[in-house]
Amino acid sequence: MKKKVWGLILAAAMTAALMGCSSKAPAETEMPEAEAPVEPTTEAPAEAEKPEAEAPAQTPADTDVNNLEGKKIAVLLKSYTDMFWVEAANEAKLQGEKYGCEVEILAPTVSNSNEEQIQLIENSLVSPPDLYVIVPADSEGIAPAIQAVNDAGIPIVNVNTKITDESVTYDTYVSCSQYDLGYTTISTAIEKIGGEGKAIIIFGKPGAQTFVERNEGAEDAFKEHAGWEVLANEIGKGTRNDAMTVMQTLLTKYPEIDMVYAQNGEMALGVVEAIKQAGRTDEIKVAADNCNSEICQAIEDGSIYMTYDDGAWAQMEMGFKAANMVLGGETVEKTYYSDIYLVDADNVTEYAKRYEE
Amino acid sequence: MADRFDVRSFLIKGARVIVLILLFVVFSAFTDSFFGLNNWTNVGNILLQEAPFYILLALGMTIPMIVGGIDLSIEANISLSSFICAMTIQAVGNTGAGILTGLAVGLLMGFINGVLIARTGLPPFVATYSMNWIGKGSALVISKGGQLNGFENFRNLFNSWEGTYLLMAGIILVMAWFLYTKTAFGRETYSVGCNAVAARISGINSTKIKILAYMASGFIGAMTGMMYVAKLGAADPTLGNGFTIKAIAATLIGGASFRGAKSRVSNALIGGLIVVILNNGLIHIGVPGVWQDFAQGLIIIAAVLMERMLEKLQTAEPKVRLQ
Repeated sequence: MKKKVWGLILAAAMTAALMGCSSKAPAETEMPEAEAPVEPTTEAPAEAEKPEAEAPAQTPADTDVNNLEGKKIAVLLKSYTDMFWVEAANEAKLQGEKYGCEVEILAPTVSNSNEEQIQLIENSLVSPPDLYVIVPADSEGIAPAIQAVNDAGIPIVNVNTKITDESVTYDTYVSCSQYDLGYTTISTAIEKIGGEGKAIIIFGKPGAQTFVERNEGAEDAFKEHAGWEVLANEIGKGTRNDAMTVMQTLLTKYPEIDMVYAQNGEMALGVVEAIKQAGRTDEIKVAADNCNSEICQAIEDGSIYMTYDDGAWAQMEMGFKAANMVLGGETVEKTYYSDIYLVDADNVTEYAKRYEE
Repeated sequence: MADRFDVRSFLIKGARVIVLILLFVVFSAFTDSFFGLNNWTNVGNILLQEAPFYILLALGMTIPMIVGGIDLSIEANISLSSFICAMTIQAVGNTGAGILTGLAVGLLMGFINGVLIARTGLPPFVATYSMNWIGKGSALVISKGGQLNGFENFRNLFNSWEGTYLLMAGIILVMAWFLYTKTAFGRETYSVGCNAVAARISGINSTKIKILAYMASGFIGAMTGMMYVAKLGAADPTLGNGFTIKAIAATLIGGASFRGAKSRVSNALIGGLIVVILNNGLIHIGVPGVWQDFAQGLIIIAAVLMERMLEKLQTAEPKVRLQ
């Protein structure tokens, strides 16, 4: 017993000693003025000089015929709470009102849970919808559920994250090009910041196609700029908490960091907290993907440098357009790309209005 | 002879501390950034920003384990109590009221767990697993799926001094240690964990003891949840997802056991520290992220195997003494 007591006292003494040693001033909240704008590119994402040109981005035709009226559309999303997917769910409901169709939102309680997504689809097949809009959390793993939908003969509009398993089929795929998103985010950031620097990538979730492709795009963009070095590529699991913890550690590892690329908005906000706390906001510029009101606020106060919005709303809107075509029996393209939008200090005030209600 | 016995006893009791020190030394030796006599930044980060959370997670799991149980609803508790705390702050505009409501939610969840287990006889696994879904579901319903942010006063309370998290974890840890090792209540708790029937026959109210153990876990979970909200700056109804597994990992690595009365408060401290140092050190050494979970699983197996070996050593002790 005595030893236990001594052990504890020793541990307490050690922690107390260490506490005393690391007396760093709490992060000052003084934000740097965002640097002078380079060019006010609001609506036109740079998608020209990408190494491997993919299938051309097209927009589903605007038809006057409403094939969705009175139909039931099931929309499977990745998460019930991530702001990006909340926005997608809201847009889907709006589209439902617009077309006069019933929209059922299916989303796992555990964000990005493939198992739960499969279960949700299986359950929904009990009273099947007329069409599925599906955003899989796992491009391969979702296959069993897609197979069940294929077997039931129900059409699928695949949105945002591609279903890559080749044994199953879907009617059309709607997304922004994730490769372009990663590539454009980094190219633009480098263009704005300058010719050289040290960067860290906070990767989303291994196995999720969106993050994998964004990462490829980002890595390629970095490779094109010899002055830039990627110090680390660590996993933030797509969440604020994991990204913050990883970033805290990376901040102690690297004394010099010029840019952090967080592959989604939640992680960017976690990264920002870690940087603020370390008092290095002036030094490190955070580039992100996704946008919402909290991110706009972070851009306004200078803690996030810039983001590319891959518009959950834009993808969902286009998804419903495609659904309208599919149910009308029209021929559809295999892939439709939606636009991405740069949000930075120049246009954030205007852009943030989107989120005001 | 006496000397040899002491060394062995020390090794048995201090095995995990040795593992902790070894990890620390290895990471310090193989990297420049983990720790150096002139570089305390990372160690400060570990102790002030990471360890308090893990230690509390582990402690919330350890206490039910003392009475032979488990609390799988920790993650739901963290999500629900912290979200209700944030909601209250936004509605009432009073930080104190928010914290008290959050703690009340945690205590209530613990109380329901305890009653389900001790009164109605549900196995702890089933009771707390079900409560986990109920809690998570409630958090999603209440939040309508959205996050909350703002509450600057609340955040300043925790963040204006950087030692706050460690201090809070330290106070809770010392309180738990005192309660469970220095008081009659603690001895009663251990006897319930050892043999609930025998404890009841000898006049101990084992129902009360068990309910209190789960309430303690609920309280700690709520506290941890609110600390997370202060740290991250947002209340998220899915905040706690995945934390139960982290808590179990830290407790097992710390030497706690699912067989009642085998766990100690110190297991949570050591386990939490080992997990945090491991996660942190692997990044400093440059192990790719995908391998970090793998390494953690490996360490859990190694820890449990070590536990077995130490038990064998312990049972071999009398023979040594007889010789």
